[in-house]
Amino acid sequence: MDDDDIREGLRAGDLDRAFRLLAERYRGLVFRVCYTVLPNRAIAEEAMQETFAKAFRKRRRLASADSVKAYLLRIARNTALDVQRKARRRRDLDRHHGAPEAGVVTAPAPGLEAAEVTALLDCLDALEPATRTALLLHHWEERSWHEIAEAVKLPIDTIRMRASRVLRDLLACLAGKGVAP
Amino acid sequence: MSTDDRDDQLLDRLAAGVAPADDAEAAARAPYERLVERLRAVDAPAGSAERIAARLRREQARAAPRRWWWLGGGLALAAASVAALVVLRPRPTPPPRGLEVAIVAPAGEPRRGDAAVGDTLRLRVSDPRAHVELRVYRDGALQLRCPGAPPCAGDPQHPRADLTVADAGVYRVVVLAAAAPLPPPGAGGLDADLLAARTASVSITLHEPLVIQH
Repeated sequence: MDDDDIREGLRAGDLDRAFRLLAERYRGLVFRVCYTVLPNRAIAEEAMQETFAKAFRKRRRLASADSVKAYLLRIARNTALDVQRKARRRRDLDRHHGAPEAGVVTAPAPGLEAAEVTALLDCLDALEPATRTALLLHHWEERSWHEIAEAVKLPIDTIRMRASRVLRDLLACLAGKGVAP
Repeated sequence: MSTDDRDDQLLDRLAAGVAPADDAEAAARAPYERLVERLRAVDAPAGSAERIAARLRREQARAAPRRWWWLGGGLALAAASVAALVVLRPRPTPPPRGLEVAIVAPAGEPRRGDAAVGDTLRLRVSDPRAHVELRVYRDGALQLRCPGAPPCAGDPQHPRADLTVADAGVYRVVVLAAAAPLPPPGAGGLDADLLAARTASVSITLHEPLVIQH
């Protein structure tokens, strides 16, 4: 898939069509990239929207990129990392002033997703961040344990063990929400 | 052995890609395999397409009146660039990178977008160390090791290969380099080989995953 239809739309100024195709094709991947980095899906969705807004602002570069997909996913990763840095700074500030950490997190609107996906995302949201990142990098981005260990700054054996054994916790969490294994 | 211990072993074997030992293990694995399938199927939340569209409409509306500012800014930037070109001497050419990966379509032109079966991975390595290896793995299994038989070519410090891709999958291109002999690849695939290399203090260059489609 060369995304020539998206490039043509961008070059011809048919931005509605170009960005509709871009979002149809890649919003799932962009969400995954953001959710792998960020602490919950509400923040990940904000980062996903910001990614498409940035892609719109950089549409000329997007049109001439070697790979539209790779360029968009790079924006997504950088956006997610920015959001993560800002959230950390805000959390540090809140902690300094005694504000509750939960104030940073926006609850997702109810009824947006199929019950099973919602339950799975709820369970993922509740995992320890490094373990969740490792699990998602492994299953969503096909990263090697070597890369994952470097990303989460833990020994390979430790993170591989945690990420595989956390599947048991996820199954238990889903069962608790009435989702059959 | 407790149920948790048995589960731990089962999950470790699953993560390592080891086939089930018997029917009982296959049955015990089934819920975890279904969970992984569910995990892999997770997409953007429902309704996100509409929310992205609304965000883009706001972005479009915001962009319209600013076009003249961009034009002014662009002209100023262009003038500054010309001045900089006049004043500054050209910088020396950067040294070649350790690993260069290009994807070439069957017709010979560089591939834009996702690669497909039939494309060629053009791999070039340059490293001054005594022992240098270029390896390609597909879905974690070793496909190519250079120096070696064709399509490997080049010399010990500059191995290269033009690998025509016959099967879809996730390809990983790895360069290992060290002053001492490198650990050979084992049966455990990419992860095990990288672990062995890391243990032996070998320099590892790992290219981004290349997803090859049918």
